[in-house]
Amino acid sequence: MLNSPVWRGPSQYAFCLGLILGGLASALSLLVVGSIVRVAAPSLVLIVVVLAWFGVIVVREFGLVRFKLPQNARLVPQSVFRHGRFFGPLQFGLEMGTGVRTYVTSGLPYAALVLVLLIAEPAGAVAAGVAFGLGRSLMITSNLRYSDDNSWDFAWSDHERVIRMLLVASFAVSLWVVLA
Amino acid sequence: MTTILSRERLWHPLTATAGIAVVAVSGIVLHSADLAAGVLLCWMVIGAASGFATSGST
Repeated sequence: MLNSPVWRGPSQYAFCLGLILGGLASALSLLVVGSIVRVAAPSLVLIVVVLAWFGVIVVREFGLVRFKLPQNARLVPQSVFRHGRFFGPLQFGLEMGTGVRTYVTSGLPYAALVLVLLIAEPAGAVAAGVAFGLGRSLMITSNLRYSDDNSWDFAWSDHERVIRMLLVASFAVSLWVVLA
Repeated sequence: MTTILSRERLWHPLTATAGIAVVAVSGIVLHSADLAAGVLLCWMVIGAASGFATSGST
């Protein structure tokens, strides 16, 4: 699918912009809901919940336990492209960027979700939301530039364990800093 | 051939992952120096790592 001309040029940038806006929208929504949730418990309890949940996600991420997390297990329909080569990809990206429109293949967004919901200040939530979109944009940007035959996906699969370890480690040390 | 190899290295998923890890380390260093930007950088790493980890979804 990424070989399609629709992913080149402005369409790609519109898609990435949509991803960022979608991530931002989700983060701000969580921030608003979280401002209500946080009133219900002292900050120490919230921190314990965040750490415990992150621990569960890490164990799941490496396949030591298996359980399903809620996800919208559907592909975004190609019909979004009816809005043209800019607004179509923009909508596609926006929907994917929210993280609630299609498959979520990792547990880390769920750890980030709870963290933003229970702990984040506005600046942190905005940073995390924008960066979530940037992280997803990094995938499509790398994929399109790596090769013309989607072999990036195979490279990902070949190194999946190392990639997951590095991402979890990066998340963990960052979590330590934001909770410090 | 050299160009192809360079392109594949530059845009390899491990390179992107390593980039996120480097930003995480930078965040820690800045935080250790009592710079608020360190915390913000770490929030960005949390978001970016979460987003990039879902790369298989498309």
